[in-house]
Amino acid sequence: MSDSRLGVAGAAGSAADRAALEQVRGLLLGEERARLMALQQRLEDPERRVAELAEALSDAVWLRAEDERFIAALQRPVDQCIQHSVERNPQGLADALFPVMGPAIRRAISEALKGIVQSINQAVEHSISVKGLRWRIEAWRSGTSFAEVVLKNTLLYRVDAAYLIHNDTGLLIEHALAETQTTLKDEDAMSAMLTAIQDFIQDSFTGANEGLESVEIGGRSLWVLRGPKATLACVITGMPPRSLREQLADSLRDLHLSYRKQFEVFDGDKSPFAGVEPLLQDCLTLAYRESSEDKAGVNWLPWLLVGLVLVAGLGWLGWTQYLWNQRLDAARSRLEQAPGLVVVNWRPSGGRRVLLLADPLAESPAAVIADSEVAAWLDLQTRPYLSADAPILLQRLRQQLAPPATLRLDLNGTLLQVAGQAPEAWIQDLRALRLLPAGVDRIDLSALTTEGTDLLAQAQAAIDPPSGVELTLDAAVLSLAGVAPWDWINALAEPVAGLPGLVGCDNQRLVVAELRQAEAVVEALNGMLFAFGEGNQLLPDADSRLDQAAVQISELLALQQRVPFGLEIDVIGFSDQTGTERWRAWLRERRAEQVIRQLGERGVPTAILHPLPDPGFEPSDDLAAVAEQAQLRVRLQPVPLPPCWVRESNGKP
Amino acid sequence: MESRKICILGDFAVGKTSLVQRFVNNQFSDKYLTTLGVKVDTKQVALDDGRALKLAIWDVAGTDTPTQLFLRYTRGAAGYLLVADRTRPETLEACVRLRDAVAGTLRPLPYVFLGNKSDLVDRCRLQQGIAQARLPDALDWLETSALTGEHVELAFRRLAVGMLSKPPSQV
Repeated sequence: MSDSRLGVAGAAGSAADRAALEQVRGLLLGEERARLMALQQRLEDPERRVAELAEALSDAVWLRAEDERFIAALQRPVDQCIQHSVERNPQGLADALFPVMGPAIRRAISEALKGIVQSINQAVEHSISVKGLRWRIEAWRSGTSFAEVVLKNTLLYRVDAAYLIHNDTGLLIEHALAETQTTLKDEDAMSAMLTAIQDFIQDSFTGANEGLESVEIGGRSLWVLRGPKATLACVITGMPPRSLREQLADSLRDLHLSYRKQFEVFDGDKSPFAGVEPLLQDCLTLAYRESSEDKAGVNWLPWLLVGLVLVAGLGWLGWTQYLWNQRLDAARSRLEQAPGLVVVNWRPSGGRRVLLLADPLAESPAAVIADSEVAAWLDLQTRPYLSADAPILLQRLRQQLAPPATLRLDLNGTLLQVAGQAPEAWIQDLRALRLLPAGVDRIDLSALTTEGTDLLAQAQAAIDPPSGVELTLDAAVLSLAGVAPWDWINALAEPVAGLPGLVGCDNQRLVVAELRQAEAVVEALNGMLFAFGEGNQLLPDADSRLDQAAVQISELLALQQRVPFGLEIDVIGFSDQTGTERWRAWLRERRAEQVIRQLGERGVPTAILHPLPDPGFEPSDDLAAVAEQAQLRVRLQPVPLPPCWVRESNGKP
Repeated sequence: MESRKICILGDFAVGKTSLVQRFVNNQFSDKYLTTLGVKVDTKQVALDDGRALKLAIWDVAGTDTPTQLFLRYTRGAAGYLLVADRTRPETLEACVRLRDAVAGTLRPLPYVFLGNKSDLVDRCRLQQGIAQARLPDALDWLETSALTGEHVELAFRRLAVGMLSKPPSQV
């Protein structure tokens, strides 16, 4: 009961209390109370809260746009939303993305087709060229495909493979390979070893934050890009630009952004990295070498012409040089073979100087060379010396000993052989020599005879002179004097030439016996007169004279058969001073013809008889008294003596 | 397929490389070639439950003192094999030092202790009990011979199972 009372009283009291409390609150809090009430109403009113949050949301999102946590927080709901949206209405998203994706897809397909066409073009182009053949050989030798070799040689660079390696474990997270590439033998071992090498380098070079950046492997490079948690290793063929490294670094940065958490907890389970492979594929880029040089083609014709001209020029130079060398060689050969000349130094260092030892008696080097151009080009320098060459030595011996022309000097090694005839005095001088000439050890005089002792006898026997011919010998020259028959004189040359030691034969003092006989007949015949009476009638005493003349002319003709001398007989007619000149001329002609006829009747050939009606002179005084006459005038032309053999002064026939 | 990095650690010339060669290539050479730095091989192990695990085996150069580079090589490993030469008991102490260094620097990792060269029966002086006493936290203690292949496969398999059952993050 008390409880209930208490309760009623309590209720009445509490109402009063509450009113009092409210009053106190109103007094204490005043305006703040109203604000608190308003705040409570705002908090309790969901619509109002949403409106206020909507108002601040855009600013809040803007403020946290760069915050990774905020991004991560949004990622899942956004993903879910998109997924939900695609599931619900794929057309909507496709329509929304089409303006972006359409051109991108078209471009990607176009680029891919372009690359394929270019690859085919290059492969076809190079497969039929010289370069192509070379590459085919290279492919055959290296055991790789032709396409691979073409790519290797035409690519500027290509990222063949990309490996994402976990830094802590060294395990391969994921990798991507270009289509033409074959997978490595053991990518995991490669990744681990690469990590070990990085560890080793970082440990060795203390303080260096950088590790290994690139490795050269034959024609390839391995680029290593180390991130905080993972390393990107790319195998690259060719010569990549530096910008590629930045591009790859960007890819690695993106991978770190996307997989930071996964990297941190990675222990070998690769399942969280399912999306890495496409990102690595993006790293596999390639760039072709600019082949404008090949395409433009080299205009080879000018080069070919220049080459031909060069080759021709070089050939001509070579040929002229060869000919010149031949001439130089010939000159050297002549100098080396020439007696009295010794080539001491032939064109040292290929120059022009030629040093020779030359005997004073030797021919001059220029004359020996006989090629004036070569001789002028060469700088011929001589030093005197005494030669022991046989020709020079003989020449020197002749100068020193002055042997007669009849002597023959020969050298047999150092033995001087003297053969022939020499004056006694010369032989005595030779025997008295105390100092032998240089180059001679001994002198053989066994074949030397004193001049003139037996040569005359030999000549006498050889030519068998007729009596009346006298032989004399003077300095080995045989002189003949006297009267001898023509046949003997004519045949003299042969036996005389065969006489050893004889240097000449003088026959100019010989008289031909037949000519002397003919001259005697001519003397008797010349001036013979035949007397005429009046007119052209010979007087009777002329007959005996005509007979005598005919006999003598016959004798001359007989002699002419043996010796070919000339014989002409003029028959001159004379007349007295009576009558006209014309008459006298006619008379003279008749008289000469009369004598010729008479002689012809006596057997004389009239061809040698010439009438001379007008001799151009008047008869001599003694003839003038007996002018009625005719006279014979004989013209005898003696034959010259045949030449006799005469030895030349140097002793040679 | 999952893969794990494991290391094979121990003193000089205890037979680490020979064990790896026996396991990976099933070969043995009695020629001693000292390992410089580290050599990595890989081998896929098929486990009893049907799973397959690829092991990246880091054959670290033998040492009795853990250097900075040694610790760098062991970083990221999911487990390791600790090898001692049974003919040289002092190599056990090197194992203890290496285990302590790995556990102290990185974190305690599952490992299997191998007393190698068991084929040299007459010269074996290191007893398994001593090893168990000195290395009580090992997954297992095995007597191995790279020459005969005794327990080699088992050792790697035991470690693989141990690693998978005790992820490093939970050890």
